[in-house]
Amino acid sequence: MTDPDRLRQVRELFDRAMDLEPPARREYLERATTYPTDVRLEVGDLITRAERTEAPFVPLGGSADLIGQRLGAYHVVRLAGVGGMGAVYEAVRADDQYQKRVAIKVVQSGLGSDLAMARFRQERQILATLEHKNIATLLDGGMTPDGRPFLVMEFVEGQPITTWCDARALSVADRLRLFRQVCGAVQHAHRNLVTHRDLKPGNILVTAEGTVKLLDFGIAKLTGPESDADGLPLTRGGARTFTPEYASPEQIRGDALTTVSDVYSLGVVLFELLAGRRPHTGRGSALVDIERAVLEDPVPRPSAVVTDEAARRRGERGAERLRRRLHGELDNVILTAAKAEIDGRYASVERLSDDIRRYLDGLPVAAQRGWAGYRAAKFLKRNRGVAAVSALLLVALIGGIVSTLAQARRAEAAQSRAERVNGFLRSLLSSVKPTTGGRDVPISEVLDSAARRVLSELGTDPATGAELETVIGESYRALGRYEDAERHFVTALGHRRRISGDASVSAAIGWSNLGGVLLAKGEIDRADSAYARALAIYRPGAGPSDSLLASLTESQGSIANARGRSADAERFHREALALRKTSLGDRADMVAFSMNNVAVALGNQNRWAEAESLHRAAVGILRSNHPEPNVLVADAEDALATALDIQGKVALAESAYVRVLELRRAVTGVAHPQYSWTLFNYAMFTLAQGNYTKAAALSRSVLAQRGKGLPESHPAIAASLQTLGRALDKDGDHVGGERALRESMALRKRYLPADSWLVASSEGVLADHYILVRDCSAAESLALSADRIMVAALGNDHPNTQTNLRRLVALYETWGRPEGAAQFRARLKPAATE
Amino acid sequence: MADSAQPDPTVANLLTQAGRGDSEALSRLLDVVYAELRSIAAAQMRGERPDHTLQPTALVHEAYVRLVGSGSRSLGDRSHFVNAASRVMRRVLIDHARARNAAKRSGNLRVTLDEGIAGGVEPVVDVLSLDNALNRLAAVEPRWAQVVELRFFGGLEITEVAALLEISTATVKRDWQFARAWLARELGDGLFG
Repeated sequence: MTDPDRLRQVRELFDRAMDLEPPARREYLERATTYPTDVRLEVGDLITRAERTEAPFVPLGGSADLIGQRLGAYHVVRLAGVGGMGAVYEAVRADDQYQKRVAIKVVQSGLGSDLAMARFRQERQILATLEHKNIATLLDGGMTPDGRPFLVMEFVEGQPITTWCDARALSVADRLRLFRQVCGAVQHAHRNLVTHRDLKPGNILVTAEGTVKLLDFGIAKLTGPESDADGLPLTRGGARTFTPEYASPEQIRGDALTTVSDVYSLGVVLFELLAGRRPHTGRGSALVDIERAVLEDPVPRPSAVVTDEAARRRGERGAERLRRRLHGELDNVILTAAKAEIDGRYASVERLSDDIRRYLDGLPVAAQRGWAGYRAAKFLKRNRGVAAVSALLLVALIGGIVSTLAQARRAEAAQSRAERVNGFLRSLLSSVKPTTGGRDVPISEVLDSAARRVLSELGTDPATGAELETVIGESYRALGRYEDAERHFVTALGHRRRISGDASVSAAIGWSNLGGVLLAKGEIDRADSAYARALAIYRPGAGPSDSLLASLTESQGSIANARGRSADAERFHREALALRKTSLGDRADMVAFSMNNVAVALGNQNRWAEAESLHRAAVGILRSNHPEPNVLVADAEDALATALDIQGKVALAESAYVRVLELRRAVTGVAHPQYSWTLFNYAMFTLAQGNYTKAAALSRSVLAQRGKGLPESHPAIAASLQTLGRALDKDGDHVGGERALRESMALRKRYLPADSWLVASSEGVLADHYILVRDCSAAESLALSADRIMVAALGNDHPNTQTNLRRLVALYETWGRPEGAAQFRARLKPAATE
Repeated sequence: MADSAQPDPTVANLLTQAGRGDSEALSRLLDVVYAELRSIAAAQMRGERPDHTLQPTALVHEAYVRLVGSGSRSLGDRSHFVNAASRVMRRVLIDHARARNAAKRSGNLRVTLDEGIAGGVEPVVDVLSLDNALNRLAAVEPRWAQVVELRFFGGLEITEVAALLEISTATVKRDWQFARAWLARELGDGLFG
């Protein structure tokens, strides 16, 4: 017989046997004598395999004494597995025409102690109260002929959730969605005062149709007060009834368990689902190693343990991709669920599930609190359609939501309120036609009408009103309309104090917002006192890892900086940096921001070498967090370029400038004002290097944006005209130089107050031009005017004033008027080096 | 930016045409998918994998994302794509196995198969043995091998396979039951639990 013919026979006999019920199959094979013996033997083997592979459990041994017997209405077919509490058999209902398959769980003879018996009966009662599509249903119960209790449960044909997901190379998002089914089932059990106590992939099966089924409430125990009275002791030192890899520290210690212990186990399962391994693998696989690891080792960040293999199983191209997907929010969700300390965990499975939903919806997760930029990124991600609207405005909008959300973090109403605010914002934004450029008149018009609508439409709910006032205030602030912003912040603050009290966190946030806009207005003293109010309220209750405390501390740094107290600024920024490291870890974006602030404060103290190394560290963090072109990286590199430039590290500075320009071109395009500013800085750098042609060309690139990316009033236009003029002058084109410098000065006089030091600076630079072309009287009147403005605006000792004084001295010396030179030389500071 | 490449619009068209029964389109689709799977597999095998195994379902998924995108094309499209990919997957795997043997690297190329048979245990099989076994199944009834390909390589569900091959789910179930048991027997005990 040829191979195909024989195989056809095998299949035929296989089909006939399989059409029968399991118990009848072997008997049929015995009688199927028309088939060759070897075919019958092979089919017998195939049937055994087919039956085995249908089972959800790997048989680990156990008694076979019940196979073929009848238990109640059920015919026991085979041993399907052995669990912690007993053997599990597959059976069919003998008198049922549908031949329903069931799982029968019988207490193992060896475990037939009174304790096991009592708990087994308890399990039966518990399961009887649970009816949920994702929990294996308890159908029946009874006693075996020899007096062992058994439970009859829905037969679940499925795979452990981890295996199921891996086999399908399910994406992270799909895994999360599936996991929320698990949460739903556990939530249901918790609502019925049942904790599972042994949640692990082996107890969380998924059917071929993708339905989650929770098995084995074998060690569950009623958590309600009734059961406390006759609560059964957990096995300590006796038979272990949980799996240590997934057990919470309190379970390993033998402490009282609550629903939050299930949250921990769910966190570990989620860890494994997303990262591809369990969190505690470091010490070894012995029971004692695992227990010690659970008790003593912190759960690592899931993103830190991923492998290429795990990535591929999740449809990601490599470990790095998966790492980036998990890094941040999902890390935080899992670490919050699987926190060793009960207090730090999600308070309920619902919260965990909710945070996952928020992640899936692109909303900020509760596990990661605080940081406005982060939330803005989320907002942009889920509203790509309106992303062309000024990102700055969006940052402010979301910043408003953040601070108000932080306030209401614990309140149940917060979410629906946040959703209302979000919905309002979305409707607001969708009515705006995206336009290019930084400041959109239509947006501010929409805001104005929104501001009017707040009171009429939402005025009934003061909490929502307070949030919207805040959001609108933030938006005005982003648009530079500080007076309007201040007005809305003041109103919001009033709401906050009325609703939550003068000493509430909400009020502290209100003061903080007000401080921010006052600082932006340049009202340093009022800003300082607003921040002081915020801190006085907030600091006593704040933990060492509080993000609002970090940002308040940072504001103090900004105030110190604005007052020219760079050493104080440094101290505050270092404090903020430490707070952020504690709360966010060493590599968060916000940590890099804080480093940048410290570096700027150091630079202001002329400690450029220290500044440079911090700038570098910040760039390093941001680059690894954002391998693709990113505006944060560009900003950090920009600051680094300046530090290098000032220290005279010419080659390094130049390559940094080039990198920044590339990044900005990729992220925002050449029309963005920031691109122009970097071009301008680079032009100044090349001018100082004596590369006049290049400096002129770079300046002209900025000027090409005039009337396009940049309005004529934009300061980069006047500044670039000045650089262009100086470069042309140096290059010998005095006519072109004069034209550019005059235009620069004219623009500044048109758009700035007459007493602005920038106007004076233009006059001084134009004076240099006239000195160069030997028009001493023209130079004199310009330099004298500049001196008057600078002394008034900056004081005699300011470096800019001093530079102009040296200009006057040089002018009079060139001119042959030593008495003039002497007059201004007398005002030079002796130590002045510039 | 540096994100994944744009889905190739021609693949989408080919899928639609192939879905309508255009055999010319199907053959072109097979070529495209084959090339893509090869390049993904090659990239994976270049990696530092110590065990030299490939997971076909992950390959197919990645090819799908690369060529079609993860957007909202209909389920039918995905089935057609997986159908195409599963059909060429054996060629891809064999090419790799041969290339490996030619390069005289230790061990045969192995694949992990989807639809893990024993709870939690992932079967790992030798590619050339698997190919040989599938050929023997196909010699009797091509559909048997096809069901295995779609399940093992494509990760399709019973119902999806049934819809794609236009046969009943009962038939697919039985084909699958049989093929799985038979392959387990042919490819060696232990592998399939």
